[in-house]
Amino acid sequence: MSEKWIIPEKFVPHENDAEGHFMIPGNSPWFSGHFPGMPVFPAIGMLGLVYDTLKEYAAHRGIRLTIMEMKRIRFRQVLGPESPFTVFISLKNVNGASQVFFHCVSGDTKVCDGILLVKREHDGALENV
Amino acid sequence: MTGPWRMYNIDDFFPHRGRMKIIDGIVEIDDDHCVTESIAASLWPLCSGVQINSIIIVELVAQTASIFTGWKKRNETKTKGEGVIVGIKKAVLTAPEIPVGSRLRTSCRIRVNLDGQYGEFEGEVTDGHIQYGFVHLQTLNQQISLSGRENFPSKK
Repeated sequence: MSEKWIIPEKFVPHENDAEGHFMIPGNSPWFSGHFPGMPVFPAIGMLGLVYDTLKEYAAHRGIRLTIMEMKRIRFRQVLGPESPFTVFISLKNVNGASQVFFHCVSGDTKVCDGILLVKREHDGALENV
Repeated sequence: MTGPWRMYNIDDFFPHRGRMKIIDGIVEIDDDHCVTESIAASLWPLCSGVQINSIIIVELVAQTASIFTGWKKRNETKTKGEGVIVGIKKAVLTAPEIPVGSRLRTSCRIRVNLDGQYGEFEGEVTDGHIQYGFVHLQTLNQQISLSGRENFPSKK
């Protein structure tokens, strides 16, 4: 059975970019043992919400995207429970490669940013978007 | 059975517990490298039923790096790896998903160690047949604060 660890509050798609708005609940499994006595929203949880936003964006465009590579990702801020979290993604074609530039904020604070190299799944093959 | 799997209680070396603990044991460890084992489970993060999104390899390498750091500091008073991930220089995902039930080996070695405070680790995840990817991550040892301090100050 599929289990959603955080439910998005709002998703705002555009042609080449999108926003995903989330609230990180204190009872999320992301805080199960991370860490005992000091709940910290893990970096992989942030990447998971970036992925969720990318997946929604792709569904909005009627395509399927696969992440091939992640690079230059920085986690700038530690977050605890009950934090707002907003993902901004922007799809660009750079030197023939499809790249998703993302940054995430909690309130006014920049939390993380980076680049995803993606391919579109089409007829069983992977191609640039 | 002897060997690292039985020799060490991994809880002594890293702080992860509950559902966020995704490493089951140590397969090999020495001053140069660490290899851990995990059985991919449906209770893991990023699981969509019978498959787990392969970006989970970032967490597998991070937890293996944390165990490795804790093991290297095992004779010090504070033994658990306390580094938090502050960056991913590069991660290559060579398969989109990992099937639940896969027996995964995560290998990790230190690429940069600055006074035990800043570290860079390289690692890869395989099930013996499929390599799921490669990760180069950056960690910082620090007192975790939720007060708004930046993890990774920008270069001046």
